Amino acid sequence: MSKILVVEDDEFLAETIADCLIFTGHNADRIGTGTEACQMLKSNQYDLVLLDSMLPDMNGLDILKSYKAESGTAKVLFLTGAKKNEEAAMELGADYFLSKPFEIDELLSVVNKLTSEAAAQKSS
Amino acid sequence: MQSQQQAMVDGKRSKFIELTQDRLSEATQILNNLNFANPAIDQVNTLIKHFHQMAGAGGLFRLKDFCQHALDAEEVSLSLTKKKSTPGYSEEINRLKMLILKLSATIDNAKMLTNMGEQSSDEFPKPVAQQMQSRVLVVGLSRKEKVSYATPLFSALEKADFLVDEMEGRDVTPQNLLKIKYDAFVIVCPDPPQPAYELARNIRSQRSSMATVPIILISAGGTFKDKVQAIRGGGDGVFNSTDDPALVAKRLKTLLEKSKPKSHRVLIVEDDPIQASGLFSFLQDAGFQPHAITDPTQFEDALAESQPDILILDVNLGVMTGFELAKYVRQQEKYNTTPIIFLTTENQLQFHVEGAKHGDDYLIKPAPPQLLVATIAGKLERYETLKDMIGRDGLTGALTHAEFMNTAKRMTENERAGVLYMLMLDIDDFGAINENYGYGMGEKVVSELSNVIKETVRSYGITGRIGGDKFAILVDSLTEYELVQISNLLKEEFERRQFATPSGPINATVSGGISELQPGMNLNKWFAATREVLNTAKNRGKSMIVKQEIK
Repeated sequence: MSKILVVEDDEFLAETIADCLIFTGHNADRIGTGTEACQMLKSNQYDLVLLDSMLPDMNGLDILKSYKAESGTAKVLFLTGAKKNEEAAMELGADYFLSKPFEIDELLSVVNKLTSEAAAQKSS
Repeated sequence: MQSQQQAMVDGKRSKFIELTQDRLSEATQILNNLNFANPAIDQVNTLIKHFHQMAGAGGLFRLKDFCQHALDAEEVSLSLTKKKSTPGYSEEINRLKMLILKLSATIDNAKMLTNMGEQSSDEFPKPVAQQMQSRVLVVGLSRKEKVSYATPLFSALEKADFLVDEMEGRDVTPQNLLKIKYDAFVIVCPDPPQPAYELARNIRSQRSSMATVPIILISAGGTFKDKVQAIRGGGDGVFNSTDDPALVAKRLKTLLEKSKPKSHRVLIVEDDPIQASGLFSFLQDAGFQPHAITDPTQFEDALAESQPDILILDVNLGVMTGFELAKYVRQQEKYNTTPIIFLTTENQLQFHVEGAKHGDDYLIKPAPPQLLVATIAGKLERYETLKDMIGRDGLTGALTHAEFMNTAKRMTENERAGVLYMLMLDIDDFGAINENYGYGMGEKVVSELSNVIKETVRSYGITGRIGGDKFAILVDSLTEYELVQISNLLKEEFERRQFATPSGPINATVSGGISELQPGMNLNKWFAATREVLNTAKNRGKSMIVKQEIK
C-alpha cells in the first residue's frame, strides 16, 4: 500500500481522485492549500504526491521547487493545463506530468507506475 | 468497456454538473460586474480558479471539449492580470463571455444526456463540413518516376491539401479499390491513351458510389481527339502533361466541391449579442454557415445578403416580434416555404400558437445544442427533399423548366463564371413517334435521350427538361469546340439507340443548337437566341448540331 498526497484545492476533484486511489488500494490524504501541503510533506513520508499546478496561496511549481530543495524523496506527478508548466515541472524534478484533460484510467495507470517504481527503489 | 474506476467517477457526474453550473453562474456574475478598463485582481483570481477547477475535473468525466474551453478560459483570465500596451480588456472579456456560453452549452447537454441515462463523452454532433482531407489516387505515375511533370504534379496536389496515393494501372482492381475509399482519381495516360479510358470506365462501373467520382486524365500526347474520347470514357477533366499542375488541383477541388453536400446558410435574429454570438459560433462549429444580426431593423438587408436556407428567430426582439419577421418572410415568394424555427424563453400557450402559425418549430431556451442541431438538420433535410422533388422532372430527373431558369439566372449573374454556352436539344418528329407508337413510346425515347445526356455531358453541364421533348444544357467549363464535339457524340450515341415496337426496332434522331452568352444579354434573350439556332438545325434538315454564327 502506497501513501499518496493529493494536493488540489478543488475539493470535489480531490475527493473524486482520492476515492479512486483508495478504491485501488492506496492510502490517500488530500490537502487544499500550498502552505498546508508543505507542512504535510515535512511531517509525513509519502511515496507519491499528486500536485496541481495552481493553488490558492501558492503556485504548484514553487511547492515542487521547495520540496525538491529540501531533498524530498516522494515521486511527484504534476497535473497541469499549460505546456510551459510541463517543461518547468520536469526541469524542477517532477517525475511525470499529466496534461488536462486526463481520464481517471490514465491517471491511475500513471499512479501505479510511479508507486511501483517507488516501492522498487525502497527495497533496493 | 469502461473500468470500475471510471464507473465510480461517473457516479459523481450529476454532482459535477451541479457544481459546474454554480461555478458558471458565479463566473458570469463576476464577468458582468467586471470593470473593463481595470479589472479587480481578486475577482480575476476567482475567475481563474473557477476555470482551472472546471478544466481539472472535465477530463475525468470524459468531457474533453468542455475541458478545452475551460483551459482556454483559464488562459484568457490569466491574461487579464497582465499589463498590456493598449488600455482596457473588452476583447478578453468578450472572449470569456463566449467561452462561458460554450461551457454552459456543453454542460447543459451533458446534463440532458445524464438525465436520459446516457454518459456519452461526445458533446456535439461532429461538424459535417470539416471532414477529412480528400484522398486522391494517381494512377500510372510514380512520384519518383523520371518524367518532368511527376514532381510538380504530386507537389501541386499536396499543396492543394489532398492526400495523394499512387498506383500502377494494372493494380487498379476492384479489390484494391475497395480497400481505401478514394474521393477522386488522376489517371496519367500512357501513349496510346486507350487503356486509360478503359480504366476510367472501369472505375466508374465498380460500384454505384463510384459512378460520379471525379476522374481527371492527363495525357502525354494530348491530341484533341484524345480529349473528346477521354470525356466519353468518363473523365471529368482532361489535361496535357504540359499544363500547369496547379490547374489540375484546382479542377479537382471544384469537382469535389460540386459533389460535396453544401453547407447550409442559417440566418439568426437574436437581440442579445452574447446569445447571438454563442449561437453563431456553435452553429459554425456544427458545419453550418451562420449569419447573425442583433438589430431586427436590419432584417431586410440581412435576408438579402445571407440568402438563408433556414431562419432562427428570437420572439421578443424589442421593437418588433419574431412572428412579425416571420410574416414578412412568408410574403416573399422565394422564402415562403423556407423553414423558420423560433428560439425563445416565452413558454405560454398563446406564444406556442403564434409560433405554430408562422413557423416550423418552437424551441424553448436554453435549448440543448443537440436538440437544436437535430431540429435544424431535420427541417433542412425535408425541405431540401421537397424542393428537389418540385425542382426535378419525374421522368428524366432533369431540372424542371422553372428550376432550370432559376439556376441559369444564378449562373448568368455569377461574375466569376467563365464563358457560358447553352445547348438546346429537341427530338425530331416527336409528334409522329407519339402518334404511331403511343405516348408510352414517346416517354421511353425522351427518357433515353436524358440518359445519353447524362452519360456524355456528365458534370460539365446542368440539364433542364424545358418542354415535352426539349432539353437545355448549360455548360461553363468547356470551350465551344469541345462542346460541339461532345454534342455530336451525344447525337450519334442517341441515334444508335433502338426502341422496340410491334413493327420492329426504330431509331430516333435529335437536333441541337449551341449559343454563347453575349455580354449584355439577359437570360430570356439568350434563351430565344438558342431556340433560334435550334430552329436553324431543324430547317436545314434535322439530325444535326448547329452552332450559332457570330455576325
